[in-house]
This record gives sequence, structure tokens and C-alpha cells, in this order.
Amino acid sequence: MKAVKLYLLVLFIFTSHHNLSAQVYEMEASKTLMGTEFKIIGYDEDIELLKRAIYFSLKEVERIEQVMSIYIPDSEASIINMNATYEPVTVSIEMFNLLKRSIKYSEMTGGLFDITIGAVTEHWGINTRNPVSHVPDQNIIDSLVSLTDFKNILLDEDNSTVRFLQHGMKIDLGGIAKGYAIDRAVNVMHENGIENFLISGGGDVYLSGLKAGSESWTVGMKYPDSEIDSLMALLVINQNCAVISSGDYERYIVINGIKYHHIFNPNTGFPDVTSNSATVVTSTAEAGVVLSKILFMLGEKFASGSYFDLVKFAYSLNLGSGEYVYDPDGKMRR
Amino acid sequence: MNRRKFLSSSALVIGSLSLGNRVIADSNENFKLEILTDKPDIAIKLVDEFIQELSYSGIVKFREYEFSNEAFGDIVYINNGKLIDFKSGETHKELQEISNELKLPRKIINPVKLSFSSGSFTGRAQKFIVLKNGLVIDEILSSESTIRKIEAESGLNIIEVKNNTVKMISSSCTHKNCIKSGVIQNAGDEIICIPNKIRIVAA
Repeated sequence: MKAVKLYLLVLFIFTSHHNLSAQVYEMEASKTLMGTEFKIIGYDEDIELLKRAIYFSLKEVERIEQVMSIYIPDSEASIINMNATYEPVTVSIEMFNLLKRSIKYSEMTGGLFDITIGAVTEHWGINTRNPVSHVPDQNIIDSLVSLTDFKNILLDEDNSTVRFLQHGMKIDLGGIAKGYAIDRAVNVMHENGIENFLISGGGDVYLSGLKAGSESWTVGMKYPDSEIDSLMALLVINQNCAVISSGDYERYIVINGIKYHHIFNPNTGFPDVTSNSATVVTSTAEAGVVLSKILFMLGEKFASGSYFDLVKFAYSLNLGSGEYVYDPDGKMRR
Repeated sequence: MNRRKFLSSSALVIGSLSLGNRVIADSNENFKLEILTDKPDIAIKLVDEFIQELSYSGIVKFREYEFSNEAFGDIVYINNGKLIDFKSGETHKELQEISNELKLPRKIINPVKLSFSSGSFTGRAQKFIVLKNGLVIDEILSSESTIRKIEAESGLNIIEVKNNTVKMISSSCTHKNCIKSGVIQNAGDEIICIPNKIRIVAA
């Protein structure tokens, strides 16, 4: 089978006429944060306001990375992982609320989303410089999977503490923190009075207002090929929302010719192979990063979940067995 | 002759000479202004006023790059494909005032480059900007034919510039996504190596 990758890109093809009375500045800035390239493209007539908003927005993502990353030794997440097995760890309101929402997503998805997968992802090390060099032993994976259960996170609202009920369990906020960071960055842009912008972290984007202040955002779903630019479909976005995709092509390692990617099924401890790619449109990036992975793991069974009312659009593709589309508002154009 | 009139009359001549593939009717449709300065905030204010006076209606792309070494601070203004040498004559008094205010040209340590261009100023890249950790460490004209080694966070990246394109030909990173992103050639395209914090921007 020909290896085709599907990914999202935002199209920057300008239709040549603008109905603008004055000039509008387009500012683009990007920074490597949370293991990906964060990019903001904003539009406003006031260049100083625009510059300030984008600056503070990227600063906010940087701040969240320092709190949520398990790859930063003194982050709040790392401190929880080090100590919560032994004693209740006092955490910030921000962290407490994120943990609470994570558990809510776990309940909604029957445990398919689970931040306590930390021990599994740590062992594989796919997001690190030193991933595993051979496929881990089934016994090891089984013992790590047994450490994965969100019900073993004990939250104490009154004292704002978190405690682990299972020795050796670890949290990995990678599956939610990037979405949260995008949402926070969106808030900072809005608070600073900028309405027309795009924020992307890797392939995940949030679209606000209008492109160039004058036209709908269009997101292209594309089969990239070194020779041909083959556009599979377009999503036309008419309201503020996040377009989030998960794919087996994003981050992976190859062992004996087999690809092992970064979307782990908490029940098996292995990369999930239900789909090759999954894209959702949601009102927040946080719900999007969680639900795109759920869609990836469920394919067409996705529609039966209680989370489904959060979803405005869903598309998943398995290159062998076909695709699943949920598009009630007709966002997709082929 | 006032400046606006001069602009439109000169542009009719310049426009017919410039940039080939589209007819340029509006004097201000196509411009690019780059300033290398250590006073970016003041420069932005001044350029904003300058652009307001052009009465340009459309998108003005703004980009900012920090440089990590000494560079020659200056102002470059291209209008409808022609480099305007405002230092030699009385035209473009505003640009002269900006250069006076910013005390340009002169050598500057760790300057910031501000780039303003009209929305139609796109197409093939004129140069490739190499950034490490967000700081500009090199600029290569797209017309050059060269191979450059970049000392990165964990090892080495090697890029090749030829035939007005650039590609990453070697990288010490794990996933090699930067190499997989292939050849870029259009202004605005980028090659990014996240583990080594290297970005190549076509501009």
C-alpha cells in the first residue's frame, strides 16, 4: 500500500480582493513550545496592540509548559509524579482544575482518555530523545497498564491536594495540556482586544474571527505527497472553534520496520491502530485534543459516547478499511 | 510635487518594469520595508505612521526576527519592485526621518529585523533566514549555491541552498521531520527542526 499521510494545514491562499477600508496588519510569530511549533497569526489595524497580544499569548503557553510538562524536572506535574504516591501534594488552583477536568474526560470516555498513562508513555519514551530500541516485553507492558487507572487519583477540593492511590503510577498531561494552552492563548488574544487570528500548536489549530479580518477561515485536509499537492477536502469554519487532529504520522519510532506512534491505548499499553488519522472540530482546543484521540481509537464507534454533544465535526480515516464522517453543519467540501 | 503625487507618477513607470507576472495598477500595491534596528518599538511606531500616509488598503504583513550577533542596521524600501535609495535624494523624507530617528545606518549588536510587506509581495523567496532558538544566526540569498552546517542543541543540522530552494539534508534529531519536509522555495514557507530548535524561513 502506498504510504499516504493525512494532515491538516491552514490555507493561506488569499482571494485577491479585500473589502477593507484601511490597511490591516498581519503579524505572525512562532516559538518552539511543548515539543511542537506554536504559531500565532493575527490581524488588526493596530500593530502595537497586535504585537502585544501575540507576545503575551506565547508567554502564556510558555508559562503553562513550565507548569504542566513532565519533561521539566521542577514542573508542578513532575512534583506531583515524584510525591503524590507518598503524601497529598498541594497544587495550584489551575492544576487542580485541570486534573478535575481530566477525570471528567476519563469518565465520559470510559477510561479511553486517562492521564495516569504516564508510566506507559515514559517506558516507550516516544516523545523523548531516547525511545525504546526494541518492542517492550508484554509482561512489562501489562504491569505498566495495571498502573493506569484514573480512579486512583484522589483529589481533595478543600485542601487543593492530589494523591495517588497506586504506588508507581504517573500522570502524563501531554494529552490535554496542549489543548488547554491553546485555549489560554486564545483567551489572552481576546482579552487584549484581538478577534481575528489563528493559533496552532503542531497540527492543532484554533481559529477566531475572520482570516485577514475579512473572510472565513478554511482548513485544508490534505494528502501530502512529495510530488503532488492533493487536497482531500476543505473545512469551512464560520465560528470560533478548534480543529484538532491526531495521526499515526505525527511522532513515531520504527522498530524492525514497524511504526510505533504516540497515541497509546490505556487498555493495551500499545499504540492504537484503529485509525491512521482523526480530526474533530470542537469549541475548545482542550476538548478537541482529548476527543481527537478518542475518535482515533474508536473510529465509527465514536458517535455513541456521552461526549458527543461537544463535537461539531468528526472525520477519521483508516487507510485499509475506510473513513467515518460526522458533519451535521456541512463544513466539509470535497 | 508632493510626495503622494510623486509616488503615483513614478510608480506608473516603475510598475511597468517590475515583477513580471501581474499588472500593477496601484502605486502602493506592492511594497516591502525592512529595518534592522535596536529600537524596534520606536521603529514600529514610525513605520506605522509612514504606512498610514501611504493610504494602503489591504494586508500589510509584519514579521519580527531577533539577531544573535552584530549586524549592519539599515532601512531597505522596495516599492513596486524597485529599490528606493532614499538616502541619495530629497524623495521619501519620511524614510530619511525614520533613519535619523533610529540613527541608521550603523553597526548594531543583537538587532531586531522588522519586515513590513504588502499582501501581494509574495512568490519565490529572495533569501532563507536561519534561526536557532528563535534568533537569526544566518541569512542566505536564495540565488546562492551553498551547503551550510548549523551547530544545533544536540549535534548538527546541514542545509543545502541551490536553484532558489533550500532543504535540510542532514540532522542529528530523532524523527527527521525536518528532512522529510523536503524542499521549500516560496516566501513564508518554513522548515522546522523542533528537537534542535532550528527554523529555516523563506522570505
